Amino acid sequence: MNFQDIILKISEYWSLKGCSIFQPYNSEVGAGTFNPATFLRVLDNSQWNAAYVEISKRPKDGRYGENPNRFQQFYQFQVIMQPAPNNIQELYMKSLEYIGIELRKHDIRFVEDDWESPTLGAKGLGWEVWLDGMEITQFTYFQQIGSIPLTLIPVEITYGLERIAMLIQKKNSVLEIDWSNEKKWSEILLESEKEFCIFNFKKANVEMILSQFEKIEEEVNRLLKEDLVYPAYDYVIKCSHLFNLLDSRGAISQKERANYIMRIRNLSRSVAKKYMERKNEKE
Amino acid sequence: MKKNSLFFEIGFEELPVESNKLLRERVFEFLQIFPEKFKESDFDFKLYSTPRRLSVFLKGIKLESEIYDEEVKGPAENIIFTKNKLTKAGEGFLKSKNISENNIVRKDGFVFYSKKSGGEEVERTFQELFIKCINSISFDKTMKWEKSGFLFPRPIRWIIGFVNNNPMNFSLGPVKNDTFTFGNRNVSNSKIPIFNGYDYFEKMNENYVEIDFEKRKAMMLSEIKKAAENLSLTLIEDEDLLNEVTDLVEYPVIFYGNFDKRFLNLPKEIIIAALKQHQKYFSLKKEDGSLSSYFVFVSNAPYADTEDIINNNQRIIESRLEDAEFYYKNDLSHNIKYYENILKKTVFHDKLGSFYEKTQRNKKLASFVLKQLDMEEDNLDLISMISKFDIATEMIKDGKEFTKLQGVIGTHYAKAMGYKDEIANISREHYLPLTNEGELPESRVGIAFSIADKTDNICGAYLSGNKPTGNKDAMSVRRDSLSLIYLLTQKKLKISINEILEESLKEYGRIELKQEISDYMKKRIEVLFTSYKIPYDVVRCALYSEKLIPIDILKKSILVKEMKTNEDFRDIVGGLKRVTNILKNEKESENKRHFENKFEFRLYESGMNADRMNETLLKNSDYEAVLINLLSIRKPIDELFDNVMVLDDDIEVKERRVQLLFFIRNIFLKFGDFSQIVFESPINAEEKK
Repeated sequence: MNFQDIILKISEYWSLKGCSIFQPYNSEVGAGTFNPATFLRVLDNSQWNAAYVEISKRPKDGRYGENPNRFQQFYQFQVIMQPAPNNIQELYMKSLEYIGIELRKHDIRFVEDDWESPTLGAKGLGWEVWLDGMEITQFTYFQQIGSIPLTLIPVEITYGLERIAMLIQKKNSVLEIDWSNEKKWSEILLESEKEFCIFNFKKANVEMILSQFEKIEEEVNRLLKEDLVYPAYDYVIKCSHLFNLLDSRGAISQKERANYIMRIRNLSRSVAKKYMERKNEKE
Repeated sequence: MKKNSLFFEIGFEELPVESNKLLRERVFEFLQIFPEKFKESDFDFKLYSTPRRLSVFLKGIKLESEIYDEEVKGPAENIIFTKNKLTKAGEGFLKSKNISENNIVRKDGFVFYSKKSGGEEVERTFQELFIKCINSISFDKTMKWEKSGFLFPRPIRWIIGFVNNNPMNFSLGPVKNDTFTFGNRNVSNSKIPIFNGYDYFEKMNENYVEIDFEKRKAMMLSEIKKAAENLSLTLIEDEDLLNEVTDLVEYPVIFYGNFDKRFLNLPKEIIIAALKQHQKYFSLKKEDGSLSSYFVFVSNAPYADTEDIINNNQRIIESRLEDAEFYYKNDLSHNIKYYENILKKTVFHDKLGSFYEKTQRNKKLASFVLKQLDMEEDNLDLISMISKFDIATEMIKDGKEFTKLQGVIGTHYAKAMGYKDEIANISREHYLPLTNEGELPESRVGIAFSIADKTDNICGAYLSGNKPTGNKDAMSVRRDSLSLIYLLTQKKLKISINEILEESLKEYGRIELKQEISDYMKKRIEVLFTSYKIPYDVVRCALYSEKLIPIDILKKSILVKEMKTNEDFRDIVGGLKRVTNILKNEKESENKRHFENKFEFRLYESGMNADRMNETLLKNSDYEAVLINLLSIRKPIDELFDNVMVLDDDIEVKERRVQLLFFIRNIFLKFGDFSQIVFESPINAEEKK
C-alpha cells in the first residue's frame, strides 16, 4: 500500500467510526494536538470525534535528509475522541488491520509512555504502541489541556505515518517510501527537507524572529481583550513555532529555554481560560 | 464435600510495570491478612497477575462467619432500674434491643446483654476489603477515564467474580461485575464467558494467557537460555530486565535476532543499553566473555508468521546502534578542552551555576578530603574535568537510553582519548556508590571525588531551596546522603561529615545551613544503621558527637549493642539517667575541685582516672577499651547516690555535687549520650520510635 493510500484508508476507517475528517492546520505546528480541532475543542468537555492528517514541523530534528529516520517535517494522523470509547484499544487495533497490517503476523504492544506538552499545558497518560519493537503510535488519555483539567476525558491517537509506511512497504528509509505508485517520498520532499534544514540551523533570521516573538506575545493578550479567541490562539501556535526555530538556531540558552516555554504556556493557558469563560457565559 | 472457593479478576488496559508491581504487592498483603473468621483449616490463596489483569483465587473459605453470642455493655444500671424496677428509659432500652428483662445482667454499675454476632457473608467482606485495599494504594500516577472521576493508573475495563458457581455482585469505581473476560489481545479480542474459578484457569490457558507471574518468568528464562544454547552463547543475566519483561507480556514467545557485527566496535555498555533500555532485549555473550551480535527478544503471543517480526526488530535495533555510532565518532573528534567550554555554558542548576562551576567546587572539596586521607594528587584540574565532561557529549545529551551511562561513557571516552586508566576511571567511579548498597569506588582519588560530588549535591539542594521534605526530594538528597554514609563506613574512612559540610558551605558563603544539614545527616545515619539491625536507641547514643564520623558511630553502635546485656552497663545507664535528670535544671560552671566527702572524692578520682586513660584510646578509636574504663565508674556513682543527697539544702554543698556530676557526665559524653539507651522489650521500643 502506498503512502497516499494509507492516508486515504485510515481516514476512511475513522470516518466510518464516526469521526469528522478534518485537514491539517494552516499554520506551522509541532504536533496534531496544536490543531484547534484538538486543543480548543476538547475544552468543550462534550462529545467530539475528529480525525485528520497533521504536518508536524520540528526544526531541531532535521538531519539534511541524511539520516533515514530523522526529519524536520513528517506526517501524523491524529484521532481525537471525546469521551474516549470503552473499546478504544480494540478500535485502534482494527484500524491497523484496515490499512493492511495482519495482526497475527506482528507483535503489537502497549508500552507505558505518558505524554506531555509543556508549551500547551497538556498532559495525559497512555502508551507508545510498538509494532515489532518499533514505535508507531502515541496513545494518550488527556487529563488536562491549556493547564485546565478536563472533566470529560478524551483519547488522542497519533500515528506516525512514515514509520507505518516503512513497515508496510518494508523500507529502510523514509526517503524510499512510495508516496504514490509513481513517486517516492524523496522525489516529492527531499529538496525542501534540505532547504529547511539549512534555514532551521543556519539561515533563519534570529533577530527578526526574536522581535516577532515579542510582538506576537503582546498580540495574543490584546486579541484576548478583544474577545477574539481563535485569532489569539493562532498567534500562540506561531509563538510556539518561532520558539522552536530559535531553539534549532541555538539562539536560546538552557536557562532562557525554560523561561520561553513558561511564556508560551502562559499564553495557551490564557486562551484556554478565555475560551472556557466564553463558553460558560453562553450556557 | 467440595471446598468453597472465591474467584475474582480485575481487567485493565496495560498497566505500567511499576504500578503493576505495587498493585500485586498490596493485594498480596491484603490476602495475607484476610479475616480468620472466613478461613477453614485448609484455607489457601493464590494471586495472579499480567499486564492486563490481576486475579485472586481463595480456596477453603467459609461462606459466612460463625454466629456466636457476644456480651454487649449497655447504659448505667441506675438509668435502667430504680430500686430494682425498670424505669421508663429502661423499658425503652429493652424494646429497642428487642430483649426482655431476663436477658440482662447487672455488673459493675452497668447493664449487659448478649447479642448474636457474626454471620457476615464472605462475598461482602471480600468486596469491602478489596475496595479499601485498592483505594489505599498510592500509585505514582493515576488517571481518570470516564465521568465518575475514579482514579487508577490505567482504565479498568472489566471485573468478574464468583463465589463457587455464583457470580458476585460487585463494582469497582465505574465498572460493574460481569461474567466474561478477555484472552490475549494479540490472539483474539472476543469475550470469553466464565462460569467459575476453575473454568477460568482452563480458558486462560486456551487463550494464551499465563496468569502466574512466577511461572511466566520461569518459562521465559528457560526459553531464553535454550535460545542462547542453540546459538552456543550464554545469556547475560539481568534480573531487573527479566522482571520488567515478565510484566510486559501475557504469553512470552522468544525470538532471537542479529545485528551487523561492525557495531561490536562500540563499547559493550552502549550496546547493552541500546538493547535493554528502550527495546527490552536480552544480550548474549560468547565463551570468551565478549558480547555477541545476537540478541534475544520476547514477544507476546505465538504468531502465524515470524519473519517480519524478526526483521523489523533487527532493523529497529540497528537504527538505534547507528545513532550511537554516530554520537560515538562525533564525540571522539573533540578534546577535553572543547568539552570544558561547553560545560561552562551548561547549566547545572539555575541557582548553583554551570557544570563547570560544579567541577571546580568538587575539585576543592576533593582536595580537602585527600588532605584528610594524607594523600596528594597533582592532577586535580584534569581529573575534575574528566569526571564530568561526558555530560557535554552528544551520547549523554541525547536524553534517551544512553543518558543513564553517564560516567561509563566518560571513562570509555577518556581512555580512547589516551588518558591513563586510573584517571579515566574517575568519571565512572565518582558517581559510586549509586545507592546505599551499590558498587564502591576503588581508587582513593575516586573516593575523594565521590565524597565531594555527593556533599556538593546535598549542600546545593539546601541552598537552592530544594531541601528534602516528607514527600518531595527533587534533588535526591536522600539517596546521596545514604550513599555518602555507606561509602564512608564501608571504606572505614575517618572523615567528619560536619567538617566536609562546613568546607562545602564555606565555598557558597552559607555556613549557617550547617546545623540543619548535619541534623538531616544524623537522621539518615540512624535510618541506615537501624537497617543493619542495630536498635535506634543505641545509634542515638553513638550519634552524640561533634564531628559526625560515620565509621566511629557505627563501631560504637555495635559495641553498645553488645554491651546492652551486660549488668554493669545496665546499671551505669540507670545511674547516668539519674544524673541527667538531676542536671536538667542546673547550670554547669567552673569545676570546683575540692571534695569534703569521701564518696565525692572517690567518684572524682575514678572519673579522672578513666578520663585520663581514655584520652589516647579515643584518639586510636579503641572504643571497646574506652567503654570498659567507663564501666569502672559504675561503683562510685552508685555509692554516691546511696550515701549522699546531691541536691542538699546547703547551697554550697549542692553546687559542689552538681558540678561533680557535670564533670562525670562530660567524661561519658566523649563516647556518646548514654541517657538515650532504652531498656525495654524490643517490641515496645519499636512502637515508641
